[in-house]
Amino acid sequence: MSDFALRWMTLLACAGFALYGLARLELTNSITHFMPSENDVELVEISLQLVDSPLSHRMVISIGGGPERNRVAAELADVLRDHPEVDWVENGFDEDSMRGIFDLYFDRRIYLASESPSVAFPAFIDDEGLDRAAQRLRARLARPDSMLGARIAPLDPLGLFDRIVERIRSTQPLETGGSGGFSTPDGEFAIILLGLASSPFDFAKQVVLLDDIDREFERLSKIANPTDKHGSELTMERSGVNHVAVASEKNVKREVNFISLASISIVTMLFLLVFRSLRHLFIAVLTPIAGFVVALAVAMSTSTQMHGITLAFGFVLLGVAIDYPIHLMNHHALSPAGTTARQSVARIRSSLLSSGITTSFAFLALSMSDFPGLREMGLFAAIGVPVSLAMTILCLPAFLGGARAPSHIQRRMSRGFEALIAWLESRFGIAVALPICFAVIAAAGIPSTRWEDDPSELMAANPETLEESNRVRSRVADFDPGRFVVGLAADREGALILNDEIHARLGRAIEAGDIEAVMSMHSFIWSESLQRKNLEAFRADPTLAMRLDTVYSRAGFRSGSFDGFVDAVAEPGVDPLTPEDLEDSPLARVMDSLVPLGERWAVITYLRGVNSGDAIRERLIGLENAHYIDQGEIVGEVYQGFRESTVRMLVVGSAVVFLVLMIRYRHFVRGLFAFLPPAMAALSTFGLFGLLGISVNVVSAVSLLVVLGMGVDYGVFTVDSARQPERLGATFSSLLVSCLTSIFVFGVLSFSGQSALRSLGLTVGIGTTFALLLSPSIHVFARRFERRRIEPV
Amino acid sequence: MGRCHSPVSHFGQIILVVLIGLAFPTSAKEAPQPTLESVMASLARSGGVEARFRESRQLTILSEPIESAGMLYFAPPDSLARHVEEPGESRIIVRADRVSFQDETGTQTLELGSSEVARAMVGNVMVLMRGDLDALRKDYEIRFDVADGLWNLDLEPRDRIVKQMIERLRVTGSEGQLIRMETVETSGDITRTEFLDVKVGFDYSDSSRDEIFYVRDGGTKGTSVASDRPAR
Repeated sequence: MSDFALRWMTLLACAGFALYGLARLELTNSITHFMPSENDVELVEISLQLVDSPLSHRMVISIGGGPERNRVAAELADVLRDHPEVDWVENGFDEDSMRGIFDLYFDRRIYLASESPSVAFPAFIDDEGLDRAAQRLRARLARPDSMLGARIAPLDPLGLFDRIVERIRSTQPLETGGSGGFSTPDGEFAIILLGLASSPFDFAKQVVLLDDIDREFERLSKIANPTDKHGSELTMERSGVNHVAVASEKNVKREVNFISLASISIVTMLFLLVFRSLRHLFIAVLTPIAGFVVALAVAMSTSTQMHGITLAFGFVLLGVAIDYPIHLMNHHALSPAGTTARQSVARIRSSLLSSGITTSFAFLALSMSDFPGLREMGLFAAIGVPVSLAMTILCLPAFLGGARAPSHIQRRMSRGFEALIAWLESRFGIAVALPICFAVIAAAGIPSTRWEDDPSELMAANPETLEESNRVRSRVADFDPGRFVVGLAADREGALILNDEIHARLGRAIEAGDIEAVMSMHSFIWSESLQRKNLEAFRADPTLAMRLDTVYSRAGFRSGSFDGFVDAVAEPGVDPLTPEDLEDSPLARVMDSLVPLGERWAVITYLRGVNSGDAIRERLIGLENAHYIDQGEIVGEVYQGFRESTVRMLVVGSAVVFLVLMIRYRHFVRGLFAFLPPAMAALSTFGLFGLLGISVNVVSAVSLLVVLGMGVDYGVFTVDSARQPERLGATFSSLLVSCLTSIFVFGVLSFSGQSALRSLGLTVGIGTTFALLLSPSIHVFARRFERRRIEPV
Repeated sequence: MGRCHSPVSHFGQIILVVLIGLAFPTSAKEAPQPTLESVMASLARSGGVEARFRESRQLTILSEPIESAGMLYFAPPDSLARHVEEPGESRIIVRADRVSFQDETGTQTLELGSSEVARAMVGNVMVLMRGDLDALRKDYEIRFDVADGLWNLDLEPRDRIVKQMIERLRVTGSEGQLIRMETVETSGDITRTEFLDVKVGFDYSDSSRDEIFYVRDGGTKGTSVASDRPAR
């Protein structure tokens, strides 16, 4: 096959694999992909589905600063009601809504009398209890605000409706302020609550919504205060998962764009400087991309989804696989004139195969992980690396053509390394000292290595946005969207029955100081069975009507005034309150806490001021299908497990690399020499982190595996060049270009503000540099060893 | 989800405030034959007011009326206080668009805008005190008559919701001074208030304003505030 045909076939094949993979690509971001056991997976699934439903889909807008805030808030709320990305808006209750709420509950006051009728009723409706209620009512009627109280008293002598109102009132700190809109208790801020139509993490949609809110607020503020040239004094602040997520993502994108541009520019300059050709850059990049698209296509042919982290890891592999074409291109350039590209490949084929196969096995170790996500990453790498290797050996010669004269830089680098090695061979002590230095760094630093197991530290949120969000949340005493108790049941009534018990137990937790407050559906609706128990409890006492009349007459009420109440007990006229009733009422948002979850129903109780998660778990013991979920805690546990598994796989990967090298060289010393650069580079990198007090995380651990994979190249090529001294200059100049490429691609990430990117950059950048620095010493050892084998003493 | 305020407290507070507001005396300026316009003009000139009140609330469910007594205060343009001294102590304070109620169980504050009834009625109380006849006519059917040397102001609410609660108000005065007020509710309950020792033209000092027109520091209930007194 001609080179021309091979080139086009290669490009077409790459395009075909890319199209196939991308067409089938369906990304998932489920954290369950990185969960080890089925039980944990279920709990996390529950937490994720629930956290992604009610509170995280809610946004709070706070407007303060001027007397026109209430009007602007009302107008902004009206505008937002029609926004496609807004599901609902609440900014207060008008008179009709209040009336609707009154009608909903007043008729059902008998059903909603007591949370534990069997315990409370005897004392509630005995003569003493009735007398207490009569005195309370009298006192209530004596108050100046008793107009409506007096009106409903004949139907509610026991004050049942007031009890319901008090329960509902306890759930929210918002006042219904000026213009009927919500305001903070101090009246300083008008408040709008809105529900998101899309996921708070849908960046594109949330950016549109947030920008529209800003624009509308600005417009309305100007209308409200047109005389002020500097704009209104009004200020708007927001809280919401979407607000924080968009700010964070904007930060990351801005940074990544800058870093990418910097990396591409520097690498392009490097290739122009070393190879004097952009074509070489294209060839170098094409090789890892080929590995990536083939691995993607294979993965998508066997699976319906790929995790976003796996895909990101695939991009990291580009940095590993780019070393193979660099080696080939540099060796080819430094070959004698007239050498064909295939001849150049033949010279280093053995080294390329050794390093490529060893790297593949190193990553394949990940496939033994008990984390599906890590297995996926391992398989992805184990396919991508060999494909890149095959591409380098089989296809790249068709792109390279005959050897051109090396560039001035290539020649100088080659001669420089030859001189350096010669100098080092003459000063064996220095060659020995260098690895010892790295060993000391590893030994001294690794014990001090500090693991960062808080996943939130990986992504730095915009601090100003966080502060703004916290200010708004404190104004509305918002509940924690990441901490809640969930009850699961087969149907809605089952969920409400469970919720009755959950609420009782959490009430005891509040009394004990384990939590500050809860937001529960229980404040609005009880199970039908509990409601019917209340009615039965009233009816169970046939003397109630007579005693009520007697006791209340004694307290100064006219006899017969409360016949309406007695009639309502005999015939309530309405059924117990149901979720459907709430759905059709001004309190429809309450139903956000009762959501379908697969074939079950989940009822959620949100918490505020959790002092002890363990204490809450203890309260729920024995209550089947009731779980306390702390999102941060769960993610933290997942993260720690993921990190530990990664470290285990790192050890396994190292062992596999060592084994493969032993098999390749069939000699312990040669194998050991080839193993030293990656192993010592990885250990001393973590050692340096320990000494410098840089905390490491799961990204560092995965990055160390990349260092291992890349470092093997340094070991194999160094040991092989010891047996082929004529390759020495080309080998080390190739390693330098590889190392510089890695530094420019990964190392610049060290300057990122995001911990995850910084960890990747630091680990890979330092690791590959260490591997390069170790290589000359290892070469000197290997060279001395080979000489002794040829000329035994 | 917003807080559900008890319609009981909203309606009741506001209606009562209206009753108090209507009780403000006018200046004792002589007028041979008072007209609605002249009475309203007198109210507009009355300035700060202090009066003792005695109230009887006859509810259909009670055998005996509930009696109470205390002091009323008004400071133009928008501060109003009703201090009940017996039985027990309680306060209602209206300042601008906020109403606070305080008794032994705590303090509760709400904004007038939270209820159509509150906004309409308390707004009109202020309108009445300012002598704004046009604004009063907007919200009430007004009948004015003079009999036996006393003038009577009959007010019938126009607002649909207010109308559901209150049938009519009757304010009686003499020569620019309020004597009594009667509120007839649609339920049949009737509240009668008499005003005694009326003093007009009061200029409240800062310290007396602090004492009279602010709820005292103390316990809270519901979403109440501990004190609405501004920092000085």
